[in-house]
Amino acid sequence: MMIGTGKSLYWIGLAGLVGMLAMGGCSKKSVVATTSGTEVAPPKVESGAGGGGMTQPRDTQAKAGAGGSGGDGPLQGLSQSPKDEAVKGSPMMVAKADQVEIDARKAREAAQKQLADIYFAFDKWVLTTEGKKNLTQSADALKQVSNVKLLIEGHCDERGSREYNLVLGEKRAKETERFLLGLGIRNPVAVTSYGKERPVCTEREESCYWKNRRAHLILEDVK
Amino acid sequence: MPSLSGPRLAAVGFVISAAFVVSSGAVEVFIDATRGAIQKIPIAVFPFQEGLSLNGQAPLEVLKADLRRSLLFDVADLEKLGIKAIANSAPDDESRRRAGEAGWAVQVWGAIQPRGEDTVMEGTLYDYNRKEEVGSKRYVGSPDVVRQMAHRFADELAFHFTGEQGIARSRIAYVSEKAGGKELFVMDYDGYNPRQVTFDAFLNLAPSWSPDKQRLAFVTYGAGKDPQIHELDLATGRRRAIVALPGLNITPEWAPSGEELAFTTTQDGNAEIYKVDKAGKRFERLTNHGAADLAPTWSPTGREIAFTSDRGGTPQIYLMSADGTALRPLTYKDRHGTYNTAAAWSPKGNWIAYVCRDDRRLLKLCVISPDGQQWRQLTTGSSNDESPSWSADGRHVAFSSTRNGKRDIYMINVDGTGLERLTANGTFNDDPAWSLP
Repeated sequence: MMIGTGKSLYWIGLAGLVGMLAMGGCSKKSVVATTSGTEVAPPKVESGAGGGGMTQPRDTQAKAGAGGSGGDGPLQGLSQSPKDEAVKGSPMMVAKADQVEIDARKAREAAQKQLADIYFAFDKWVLTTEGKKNLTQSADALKQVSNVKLLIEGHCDERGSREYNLVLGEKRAKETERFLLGLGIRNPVAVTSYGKERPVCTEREESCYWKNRRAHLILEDVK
Repeated sequence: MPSLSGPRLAAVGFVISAAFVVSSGAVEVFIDATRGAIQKIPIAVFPFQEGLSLNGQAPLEVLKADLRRSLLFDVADLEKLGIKAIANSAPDDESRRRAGEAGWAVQVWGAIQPRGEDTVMEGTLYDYNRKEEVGSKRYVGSPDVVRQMAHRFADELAFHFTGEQGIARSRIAYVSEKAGGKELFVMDYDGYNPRQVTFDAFLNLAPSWSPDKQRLAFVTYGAGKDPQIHELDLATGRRRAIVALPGLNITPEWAPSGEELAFTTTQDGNAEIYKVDKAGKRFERLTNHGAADLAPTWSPTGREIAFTSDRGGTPQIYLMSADGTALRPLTYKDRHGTYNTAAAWSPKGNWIAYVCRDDRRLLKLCVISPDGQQWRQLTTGSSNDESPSWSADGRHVAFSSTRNGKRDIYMINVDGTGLERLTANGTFNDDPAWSLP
């Protein structure tokens, strides 16, 4: 028990020391890396903001030396007749970007911007001429990201009953889905309805009502 | 004035047991024997003896409001009768005599006292004509249930005179906006003691009480998921999914037996009505039509279901047997308007309330008898009124309305009188569901 505690304290102390050293500056970081025997690469000071054009500190150059007769090894001290000391850049692993995912996200976001809400007439779920026109544009965008899942939400204005509007919203979403599939989109599609439960505005006038009679298209983030 | 202790209904010359059911084939015809014939019982309620501070819970006021709301009693205005309230005392002989001789033979008084940590409320019913106490009740509980004690005593009085359970102990479940989500709440039937019972921070809708008042079925949306029907056990807090079919699962409605649930699902591609047993295992499809069939409501016998269908082009109310046969329209576009939905069958059977729409495109409540013979608009004005739900006595309808700006919950008597606002908390309140007592 006592020994264990002693050991723990030892490790805590060491960890603390390492921590302190690690915070102490670049030259000390190289010491840490050496003593610990692990590949703790010192962080490269390459700050674009403010650091541009500044020379690297001497310490950084020094620690970059090769192992053995210098280079990465400890400083040799100044000499009247210096030998060659090989200096290498320190390789550093960086997080690898998943370019495929970045491209997919950018494509999805670009497509999402093309997906305008579709509006419906009072009590109706048939598409209007303008709705069809907008969906035709949306379909073009959807075809660019045909592997991305599309969610179509149907919504209603407040002048229908709560229950019937849930169904009416779904009819609007399904009509939208049917039209898009007819245009040849291949995206997996899900539909749902929020009836009048999630309005974009609540004023009791047509200038608000029409905005709520909508089908809203969402490209879903694939995880 | 006849005796109060004789046979209950006949003794007071008064009929309230409302509906006689005449079965003719699949159609249930309900004859409302009471309409226009209710003779209220004059009742004098004397001030309570109060032996403790009630922190604003005034059992006398609760009791009087309950008695008035029951529509069974005509509550005396003692001040008008020249009867002075005697503070902290049972009514004296003189007060009882004055009330009795003015025609208020049914007399009630009470007392409320501390007993240790508890509060004790006593209520007494007195028959002035016979000069005797008919009976009394004593309720013991924590100080914060004083309103419940008064409600209970009001229901005892209703029960004594009508043999019915009263409605003062009933509750109303409803939907209220909370931090951007819609959550279920439960309040007393008079709007007091609201309690939040779901905390999903998303969308919960359409509560329906089990007949035993222990459980709520409701619609719940999970983010990105189809809405499901869940059940919350209010005693244990246990929650379970009853219906999680693909598509929308909405408008749950417990059968009067409590053994099954009718609901709407769009798993077949369009809205159809189904039944499921309370275990959530055995499903039975009741409708089969390419149009939308939704929002079922049970007749009190459980033999029939009213629902909404747009199979005729616009949403209208239809009836069918509870096995899906004998389907027929109840409302018609040319007679009852182009938009009729969200039916609620009175527990007394004699009326079906529903949401109708006037020519200004405003939602109103209408009522129609199940045989279609009687029909009228129940609410008026420039508000949107919806989500009707009946009190157990079939004499009141709770609903939501925008008549004071924000949507709130109200009740109204089935004859259009007695409008009362139940919520006023500055947020959105909707979808009331009235429990049995």
